[in-house]
Parts: sequence; C-alpha cells; structure tokens
Amino acid sequence: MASIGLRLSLATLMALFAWGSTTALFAQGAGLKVPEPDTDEELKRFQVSPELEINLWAANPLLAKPIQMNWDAKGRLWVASSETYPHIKSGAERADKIVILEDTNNDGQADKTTVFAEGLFIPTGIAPLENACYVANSTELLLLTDTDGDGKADKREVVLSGFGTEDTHHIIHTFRWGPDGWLYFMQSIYIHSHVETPHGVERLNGGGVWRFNPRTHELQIHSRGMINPWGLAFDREGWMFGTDGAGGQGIHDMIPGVNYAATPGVKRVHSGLNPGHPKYCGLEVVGGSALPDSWQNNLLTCDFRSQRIVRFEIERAGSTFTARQLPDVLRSTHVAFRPVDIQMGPDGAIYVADWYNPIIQHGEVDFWDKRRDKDHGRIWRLTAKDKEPVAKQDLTQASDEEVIEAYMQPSEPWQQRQATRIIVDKVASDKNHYTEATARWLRSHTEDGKAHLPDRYLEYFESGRREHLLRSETALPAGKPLDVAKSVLATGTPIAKSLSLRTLADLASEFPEASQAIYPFVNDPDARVRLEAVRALARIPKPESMVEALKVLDHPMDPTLDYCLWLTANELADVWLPALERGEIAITNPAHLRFALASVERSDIIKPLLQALEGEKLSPEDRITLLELLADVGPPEALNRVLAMALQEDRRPEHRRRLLAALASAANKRRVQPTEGREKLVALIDSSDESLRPLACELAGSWKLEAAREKLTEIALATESGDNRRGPALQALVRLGGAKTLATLDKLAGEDRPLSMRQMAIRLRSDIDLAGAARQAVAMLATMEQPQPGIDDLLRAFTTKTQGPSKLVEALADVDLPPETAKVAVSVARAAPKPDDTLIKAIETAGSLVGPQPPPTPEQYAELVAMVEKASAEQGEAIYRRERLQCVKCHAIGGAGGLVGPDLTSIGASAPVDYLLASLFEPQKAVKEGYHSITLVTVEGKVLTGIVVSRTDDEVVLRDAEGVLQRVNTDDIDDEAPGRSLMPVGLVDRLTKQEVAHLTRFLSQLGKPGDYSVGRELVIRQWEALAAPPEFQRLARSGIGPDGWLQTQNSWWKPITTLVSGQLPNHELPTLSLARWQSDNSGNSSHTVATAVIHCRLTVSQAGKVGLKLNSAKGLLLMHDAKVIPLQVQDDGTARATLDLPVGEALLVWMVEPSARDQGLRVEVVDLPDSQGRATPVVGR
Amino acid sequence: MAINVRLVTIVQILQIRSIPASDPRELGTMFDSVFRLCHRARVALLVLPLAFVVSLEAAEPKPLGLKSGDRVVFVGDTLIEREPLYGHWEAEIRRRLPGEAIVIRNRGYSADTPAGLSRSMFDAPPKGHERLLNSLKEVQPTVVVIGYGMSYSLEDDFDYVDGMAPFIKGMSELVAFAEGELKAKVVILSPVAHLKSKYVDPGKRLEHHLGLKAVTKELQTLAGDSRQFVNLYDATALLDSTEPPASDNGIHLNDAGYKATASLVADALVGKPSSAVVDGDGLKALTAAVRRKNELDFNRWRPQNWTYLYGFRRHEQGQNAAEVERLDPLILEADAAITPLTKP
Repeated sequence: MASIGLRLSLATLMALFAWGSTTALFAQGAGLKVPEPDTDEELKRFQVSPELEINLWAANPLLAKPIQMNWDAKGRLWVASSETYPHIKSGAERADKIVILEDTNNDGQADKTTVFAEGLFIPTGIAPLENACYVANSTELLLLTDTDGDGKADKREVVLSGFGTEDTHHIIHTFRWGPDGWLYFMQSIYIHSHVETPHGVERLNGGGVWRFNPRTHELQIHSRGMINPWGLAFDREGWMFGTDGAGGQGIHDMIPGVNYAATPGVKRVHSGLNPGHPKYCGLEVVGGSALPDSWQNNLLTCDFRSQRIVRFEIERAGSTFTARQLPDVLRSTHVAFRPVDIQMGPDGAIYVADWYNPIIQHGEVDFWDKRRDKDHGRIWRLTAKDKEPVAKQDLTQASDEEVIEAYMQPSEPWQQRQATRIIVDKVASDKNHYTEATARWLRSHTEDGKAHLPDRYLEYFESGRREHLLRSETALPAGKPLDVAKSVLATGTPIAKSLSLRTLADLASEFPEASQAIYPFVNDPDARVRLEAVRALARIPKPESMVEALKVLDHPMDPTLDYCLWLTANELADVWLPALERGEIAITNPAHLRFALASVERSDIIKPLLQALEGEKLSPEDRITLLELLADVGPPEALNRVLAMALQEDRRPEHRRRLLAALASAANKRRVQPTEGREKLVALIDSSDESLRPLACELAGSWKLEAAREKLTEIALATESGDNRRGPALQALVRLGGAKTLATLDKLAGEDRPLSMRQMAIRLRSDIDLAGAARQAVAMLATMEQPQPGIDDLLRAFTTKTQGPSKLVEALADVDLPPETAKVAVSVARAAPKPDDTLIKAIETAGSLVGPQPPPTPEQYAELVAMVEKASAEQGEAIYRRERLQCVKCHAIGGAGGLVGPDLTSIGASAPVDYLLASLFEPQKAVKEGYHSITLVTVEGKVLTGIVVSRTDDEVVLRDAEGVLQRVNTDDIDDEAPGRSLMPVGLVDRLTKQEVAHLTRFLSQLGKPGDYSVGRELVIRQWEALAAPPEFQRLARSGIGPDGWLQTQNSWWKPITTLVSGQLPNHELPTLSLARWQSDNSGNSSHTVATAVIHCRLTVSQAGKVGLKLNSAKGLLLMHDAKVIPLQVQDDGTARATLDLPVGEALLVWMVEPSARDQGLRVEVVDLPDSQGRATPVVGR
Repeated sequence: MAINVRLVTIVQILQIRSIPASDPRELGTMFDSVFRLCHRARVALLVLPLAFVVSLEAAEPKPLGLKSGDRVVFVGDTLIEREPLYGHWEAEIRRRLPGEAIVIRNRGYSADTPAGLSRSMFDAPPKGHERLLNSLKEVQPTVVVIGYGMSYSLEDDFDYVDGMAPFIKGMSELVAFAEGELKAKVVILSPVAHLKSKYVDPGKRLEHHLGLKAVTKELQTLAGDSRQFVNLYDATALLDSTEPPASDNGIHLNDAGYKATASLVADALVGKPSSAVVDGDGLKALTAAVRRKNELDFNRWRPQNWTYLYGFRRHEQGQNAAEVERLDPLILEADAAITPLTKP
C-alpha cells in the first residue's frame, strides 16, 4: 500500500518501558499515586485464583525490601534484603541485611526474625546451608557462617569475586540449589565478570547462568544470554527452566551450553518457549499434597510489571517442552505490589516475596526519585482451599532413613529438594553414608522382589560419590563412575539418561572410553536424549564427536535439535574441519556433510566442499546447498561452477534463484565474481521464467556487466508498467555508472514521467551524483504545494549518506519551499540516523517555518495528565494503529507487531501516565536496555542506525527503524558511535492534545486488568494481508487456485496485527474484487465481491490435531495445504475448525468478506482433548 | 640489613641432588609422580612442609623508604583487589611511618592481566588497557606496586615453559609506563603459592604450584637488581598448614593471609620499623580506618551502575555521577583520619 502524505519514517514509542527521568518535569507524584503502605489495603486488592487463599505471612518490622529468598532444611526462610538499592549514597555505610524468618507456632504467619548478617552491599542472592549461607554481595560471592551457634554470622569468607556491577539490577542474583548439589545463579546483560578459581579463570560478559560446586570450588558457565535472566527452577524430574525479567519469550528450557537472546558475539541464539509473552521473574515449580492435583509440576512465575503471578503447564514435545499458560494465580490492582521471588514452603504452601515498590528499578528512573519505596516489604502465603498443609519437618534433625524417605518420595517437592541437598553434601564427604539406610529403605519398599528406585536417585547419588572419589586420597577406581553412568544409560528415563550423558562428558578427559559410551545415544528413541548426546559431544574435542553427532540427522529433527547440532558443529569446528580437510575423518552421508559445512561460516570448508560436490549420491537439494556455500566462500574459479548450474534451463527455478542470489551476495559482500561465462547472464534477463529476470538484472549490476547495459536501459526506459525488472534494472545501471546512466536517469526524471518514477530516478542518482541529485530533489520539492507520497523516501536517500545533508543545504540556498512540504521534510531530517542541525535549519528557512515545538512545560504536562484520565482508550487504540504514526510497525503487543522497539503488552501496568507522556514527547530521555541503537558509517559513506541484533568478529547485524535487518561487514565499518533512540522526536507534534490524551490513555491501560490486557489464550495476533496492485486484481479475477495466492510476490503481503482484543478490524483489511467464492466457487467473474486474502502461521511443536476457535464463521473461508478446512458453526455463533498438522510451520490462508461480518475476525488456537498436537501462533517477525 | 627468609622446595632439593631436571616440564612430571607415589602409598601430604628448609640469602635492594607526601598505588589481579577488604598491608606500612601522611590507593581488578583484560567492560580489550593506565595516572603515584601473575597462571592457555613471553611483555610495558610516564618507583609482587585445600586434586595443585614458581622466577628476573621484588610465593608456601589458614581456597589470601604477608610488603616499601609502632587496639583502630577509606575509594573508582553514570546510558543518570564525585572529599577526610592513628 502506498504510504501517503504525512507518513513519518521512523519508529514510534521506542522508549516506553519504565519510568523516565520525569521528576524534573513533574510535581511530586503526578500521574502516579504513591499508595499508603498499608498491608490490609494491599491484601484487599488481590484477585486470587478460586482454588487458593492468600494471607500475609511477614511484613515490616520482620523484614524490609526483600530481593531474594530461599528455605533451609529446618524450614526457615532466609531473605536477602536491601534498603540501599538501587545506588549507595556517597559516604553511607554498607548496611544491608540477611534475615531469617520463622513461623515457630505453625499458624501460617511468621513470628520470629533474626538478623543473620549485616553490613552487606546490595545482596541480591541468598542460598542457605545449615548455619551458613552463600550471599551475592555486589562484586563478591560470600559464605557467611555462624561458627558459635548464636544465630548470627561471625565468619565471612570471600568465595568468589570479580562479578561486574555495571547495573545493580543485573548483578549476580537468583541463587538456587540444583538437584546435583551445585549452586546455580544468574547475571544479566550489562554485567562483565572475571573470576579466579583454583581450577581456572572464568569470564562471562553479558547475561547467563553460573553454576558453582561448593565442594570443589569449580565454577562453570551453564548457559549464556537472556536480557535479564531472573528466575530459575528445576521440575520434579530435574529439568531446568528459566525466565527473563526483560525479555519476551516466557519460560525457557535451559540447556547446558546454549546461548539465549542477547548473548554477545554469537551468530545464532535459541529462543524461549513462549515468544510474545511479557517479562517474568522468579520461577518455581510447585506440587505436593497441599496443592490441587491439577497444579502438580506447574511452573509459577511473576509478571512483576503487571502485578500478577502466572502459571504454566509444561509438557515434553520433541527434544524440548511446551509451556502452556493456565489461569492466573493472582492479580493485584495495587501499584506497589511487586512479586520478585516465589517459593514452595515447608508446609506445602506457596510463598511470594513482594518487594513492594511503586517504582521498579531501571536506570531510566532517577536513583533518588522520592517515589521509590526504601522501607517496606512483605511475604505473602498462598494456600489451596480444602487442603491440609504438609506436616513441617526439620530435616537437619531427621534420621538417615527419614532423609532417604523424603528423597525417595518426590510427592512433596520441598522436602525432596532439601533431602537432595543433604544427601549430596553428606555423600561427598562419606560415600557410604546412606548405604545402609538406602538398603533398609529398599527392603521395606520392595514389591514382588523389585525395588522402585527413581532413576535420578542413582545419578545424584553418584554425582556426589564421583566428586568424593576424585578427591579422595585413595587411588582412583578407574572406570567406576563410568560403569554407573553406563548402567543408568542402559535403563534410565530420559532425565536420567540426559544427566548421565552430561556426567560422561565431564569424565571424558579422564576416561577416554566415556566418549564412546555417548555415541549410541545420538540415536536414542527419545529426542531429548539425542539432543543431550549432541550437546555432550560438543564438550569432547575430537573429530569423531562431530561425525557421531551428525547422525542425529537420521532421525526427526526439530528447531531445538537443529540449533544444538549447529552449536556443536561450531564449537568443534577447529577440531573436525581440519581433520576433514586432511582426510582423517570422513562424513559420507551428504545430508550430514551439508549440515556440517553449512553450519560453520568459514573459508576453510572449500576443500571438503569441492570433494562433497564430486559425490554421486547428492540429492538436488543437497547439491544446491553445497553450491550456495561454495558461492559464500569460494574463489572466483569456484564460482564458475555455481554460475554454470544457475544457467541450466532444466534446473528447478527455485534452485536457480537461490544460486543467482548466492552469486549476487558473493559479488556484493566479497567482491568475487566468476571468471568465465558472465556474459551468458544477459540472455537470462529475458528468461522464460519470470522469477529469474529481476535476479539476472541485479546480478548484472553486481558484476558491472557492461554487456547488459543496452538491455537494462531498454527495460528502464520502457513506458508500460508492471515489469518486475524495472527496479533491479535501474539499480544495475546505477552500479554500472557513467554518463550513459546519468542520461537515462535524466530521461526518467523528466516532467513527463509519473512522480514516483521521477523520485526513483533522483534517489538513484544520489548514489552516483549527489550534488546533481540534491538540486533535482530541491527543485521538485519547491514546486510541491502539498506534500506528495514518497518524499520521505526521496529525502532519506540524502540523510543516510555522510555528504547528503550538506549537498541538500547547498541546493536549498535561496530556494523557497512550500511550508507544508517543508514540514514533512523537517520531520524526515529529524528522524535521520544522524540528524543534521544545519539541514534542519536550512529547510526551516526555505519553508519559512518556526523551529520545532518545544516539549511541554510542567504545567502543560499536568494538564495532559488530567486529560488522560477522561480520555478514551478505544479511540487511543485507533490512533495507535494509524499508519503514519507507525507505532505498530516498531512495537508489538502480545508479541504481534514490530521488533524495533520494546513490546508494550504491560506498559500501562508498569509505567505511570507522566512517564508515558514524556516518552511520547521526549523519546530520547529513557531508552530500554536492549533497545539502544548504534550508528555506523561505512567506508562507502553510508550512515546506518539500528539496534544491534548480533555482532561477531566479521559482521554486525542491525535492525533498523524500518524493522529491516542490515548486515554490515566489520571491514566496511569506518566509524561507530552510540546512536539515538530510534523513536524520532516530534512524532506527536501533529496530534491534537485530545488525541495525545486518547493515545496515552490507551497505552496506560495496556496490561491492566480489563479490555486492554493480553490474555493467556493463544490468539493469532500477527497476520499478513494481500495488498496487491490493480493489475494483479485483473489476473485474480480470471481465476486463481487457493495455492495461487501464495505464489504472489512477497512485497504484496502486508503485515497486519489485531487489536488488543484479538480482532482484526474489518475496515483495515485491504480487499480485492473477487468472484464470490462463498456461494459460487466456480470463478464466475460476473459476480464479484470485496474480499480480503490473509494468512497466518503456526509453529507446530508436536504433530497431531489442533483446534481453532473463531468468533464467527460468517464470510470466511479457511485453507490449509491447498485444502479447504470445514468450519463447524456452534450454537452461540462461534465456530471451530480442526487441523491435522505435522511438526514445523503451518501456513493458514483465509478469505474474508468483510461486508458479511459484523465483527472482526478473532482466531484462537486450542488444544484438543485426546490429541498430542500442539501449536502456537508465530509472532515477532 | 634485611634478612630474607627463603624456602627451598622439594624441587630444589631434587636439583641439589643433581637429578637432571633442566626442563621444568620434566620436573613437573617428576614432581607429580613423587606425589602420586605418596598419594598411592597413602603417605599423608602433611610431610610436605617438612621437606621445606630455610636458608639465608643476601639482602635485596634497599627498601624504597616511603615518606610523607608519597603516593602509592597497588595494581594487579585478585591478590591486589581483595587486600583493601582487610587493610593489613596498608596498616603495616603506615604504622612503620608514624604521623607521616602517605596516600595509598588500590586499583586491583579480579582476574586481570597486565593488559587490563578484566577492565574492558562493554568495549574491546584495548579499552581495558587504557582504563588500567588511566586509573594509575589519576592517582599521580610516586610508587606503583604491581601484583599480577595468579590470574595469568590460571588461564587455559597458560604455558609456563614456552608461553610466558606475552605476560612478561605486558608486565615490562606496565613497568615502563610506571617508571617512564608516571616517573614512579616500581615494586613487583610475585603471586602467592597454591596452598593446600580440599578443593583441588593434589596432583593438579602441585602442577599449578610449579607454574606459579616459574612465574615468580620470571618476575624476579624482570625486577632485576634495581627494583624491589616481594617474593610472596616463597613466603606463602610456608603458610601451607598454619592455623588459622592463610587461604580459604588455596589461591587467594584471607584475613590471616594478608596479615601474615604484611610485613614482607612493608619491608620492601618502608624497611624495618625504626621505632615503636602502634599495636593492639591501636592497630585495630588503624586497620579499621584504612578499611573505611578503602570502601569509600572502591565506591569511587569502581562505582556500581557504571553504565548509567558514565557508560552509554549516562544520559539517564549522568546527573548522579556528581553523587559519586562527592566521595572525593570524604576519601581525603578518611585519609586524614588514618594518619593520627599511626602514632603509637
């Protein structure tokens, strides 16, 4: 769809994330009512799941400002708390505390508090032992011990140090004991840690999960990435899950060695299980006899921005899991309720640490903002109705039998976790400690002479034993731990096998046969076990590891397996690639070789690649992939082979397209071209296959193929429209350059040509004759009384070049611009990657404009705040969706929308009105982490600004303000500087005050209970609609099959997102005039109706039947896989559909007749009873 | 005249016995097998200290002779970074110079290298080096005490036989910077020994021990005759089985460990005390005052929330960098509060 008139080119709403530095603008408390810190008031504001009850367990003066909590085996709750946070006042003492809370009379409320330690510096993690605890203390991990039994720590050991503190809401935190007896903890994106341990130095730059073995002082990086990893828990089997307090991917399956979002310096990251979800922190897996059956093994996590606690059900799916959201655990309308940690307790209840603060920490909020609460804190307790609490047990006083009993009966997860830790500790110092007790337990629990021993017991028991054996002063019993691991592998469940595979990888350096023991499990029937084997092999740096890992390709793959195999291929590349080159290993299966070579972007794959291409068993698909790789890395001579194949008429057009694209990329990125046969490309410009023609034009340009000039000029100057070669032909001519190209462009810029053509000619000229193009552009603007479509693109051709602004300034001298046109020009200049003040001034002078509108005064802000209260969120949503504001293009709600700016799903629940307003008017003031842009200047003089998506030694990938990924070779970068917010200033200048109020009202409602909260239903929110040009409509009317819609050009599909309610507004759907397919699908063109063609995608994680729930079937046709899917209309007017889907991505095509529908289309994905099928809507593209 | 207590380890004994051991790699293997032998034979490793003998060595270069007005900066890896938590080194130095105003600052950084690897933060490594040099320059020191080596010895690619050149080059450049650009005197500290702990397999520990010894030897060569060299390696090897232990994890000193090594450091910087020194509660008060100053100084030069105060988000909280700068007068006050406490 053509952009019109006032379209502004850059993102909106970039910065809306937390409160900004608005205190300077505002009278205290404007837009945010700081509540009275009354616990009854807070209690009243909870809406709790009907299955639960809530009570206050602890509050001031028992504690203040809890950040993290964990239980000890006596049933006492240890809490790390800080009144210093977020920043220490100069000269203030370090005065933060660890307190221990107890409910001594078992009445469901804490009645005793002990200050275990003081003098701490923003402690953000706590893991208790019996009379000691590990504490995160800024740069240090401390062990605080009470040696004399008076309940207070009197010994302070710095266990580890060197953790970064670049941001106090990212410093090490979230301590959890793993079932393996290791201490797990996390650090977040801005932290750079450098730690010496007796076993080596560990460095972690960016976010990630650490694991530390207190018995050996080994420190390892478990996994990297996530923006603010904050929440970590193990389920009843031992699988580890994580949440991200600043990312939007929900629950994460935490796989050892994997890189998640925002890992620095990697090409590919793995995603969470729920893309499009709000940020979550604190994670717990609940269960036990005091909770309902349907809650067993559920994951609970805190949506601290929206003041709610959410619940997920996890289920194994392929090599990973699905995490399906269940009804909320609780919600609050109290602005200071901030659930930051959640834990099962010794009585089987759920405990929630409430940090209690109307302001959440972010750098955007002044450290000393008076609205920050520095004093309060609560622990809330959630119990199930009609359930008896679990009898509390002090496991430190329990007999060995009781500990084994608690361990072996995982029905009470709290008891079982505490018992695990006790067992691992004891066994580490005395391997036989529980031998007798275990034997007795086994005898008493034997049925039919067969013990029901949980597999993982062996594993954890042995992990303790192995440490003991390795450290003992007796000779190593070679092979012993290996035997254990092998026996578990022979019979175990997937978790037991997985843990054993990790153990084998640990042992591989000492026991070479450990690696062979891993090999068979690459072929295990369970996909997760296969994945673990692939990951375990990554830790054994032998060429054979890769050969074996690739065998996983002989079994069904899924995205997680694909990622893990890719990761293993890359981690081992220095080992297997040289061995392959030297012929020391052979990868004979072409599919294996293709995967391996395609995984590593390195030039030394050439030799194996050429060998592989000699292979006779290659499938056409494998061959094309290998040739693409050859084009990526090969020398000019090698490219001849690629070109020869691309020119073969009998090859599939799709394959030929891929090869042409690979050749273009080689020419553009590496400046490498084939040495022979290039002139044959000219014929391809007229190929009988239309899809090849534009690519041939493009390649002719990349090669600067003079032989093609005549043909290209002919295409460029043709007067009939609709030739898909014109754009590429013009581009190619520009690359050929010279006077001939300028002459062609002059003709195209002539006044007899359509405006869009003239603009394109000027834009193209700017690449080769900047000054001339600037004169032509200014001349065009000077005659334009009202701004016309396309002038923003025209001007952007100049503002994205280093010399562009100055040439425009020169051309503007003594020229008058019509004021309305000048206004648009100014907004484009302001939105430039590097706004040039001289240019802005020059346009203002030429257009006789006054300067930019200053931001509102505090009084004006106050007036707006008052207006927002009475404004309409519904109208605000309509404004939000206006194309020229481009909010949707950059921001997502519920995952649907742009990725340029932060997701706004819960912005209203986390940000007060004053902050929202300030972010609209002054977007530079506060920018969310992960959304800081950089500006790059290339050696060619191009200026790019965007968010860094990934950065490696070779390449920087930016997401620009248009949402487009821009790849820049590191070698091509001339200069780099921190960029501005991608959200331009002055966006809302053109809105009326009332419109600003409506828009802000809408934003302020997002995430709050009500109509503007994204529910847990899997609503399809991201769609694409066919917005085809008129000539296509003629084609369409002549008849086109259901499949035909998808053959249309990509550029004709336009993204469209639903309203927050999940409905696609009828009036926003672009329509085609089509044969009435509903009553008469014969293609009778005399009877036509306005019809929208839209499609959506589902990610299918588990094959099978999946349901769709539609709000109405009126005027609707659904197609999948070229078949019409029947819609079953229900009594209430809603409709259902059933799809049978394979693993992967499913594309659903819909035809909608808007005039036949009284409400916008809303589609929900639902699981069907008795079906294994699982699918979720694709979001975030 | 300073008398230096020096240790001779088993390795040296083996050398004395003319066992051909010119290649330290062979030594390592041999050393290792000796201990595996002990290990297998269940000979308690406690015999190790018995194998140490004490010898006398000639005096090293004259102590620096610190005096009022001197400004000392300590720089290095975790060894240096953790010292201010305890304050013993500075307290020992200061009490030997009663009433004299000496400024001591610490710019140690965990797991750092002479190239400033730990200090790069969001930037590429050269920036870490630049930050390292600037942090020294800002102190305007007259004396630079350099304590690198442990972190280096723990890196995966540590090769104490063939691979020490990059480390020594980095050290030499740092020394040249201190002596050239800063016109300061240089004192070089060796890393400490890897003491016995329950965390590390004895064979691995002894291998590392050899590496540390080799690092120490290289650093001593670098120090030459013209610079003070403090051999913490030999001194701490003696502390293997002291009570309370000098180290909690075997490679880092704790409160007792810093206390035990304080006089060695002070010997190099000041020399033996010429008169009575503050002791008992007086020393406790002095040490406490030093720690207080150190805490303020740490908050000043390594402030939390750096990203917002000085980094790429300073447009959000840059106004609060002033809050950090308010520490400057407080640190001077804390310095001034120390001096009176140095008088017995």
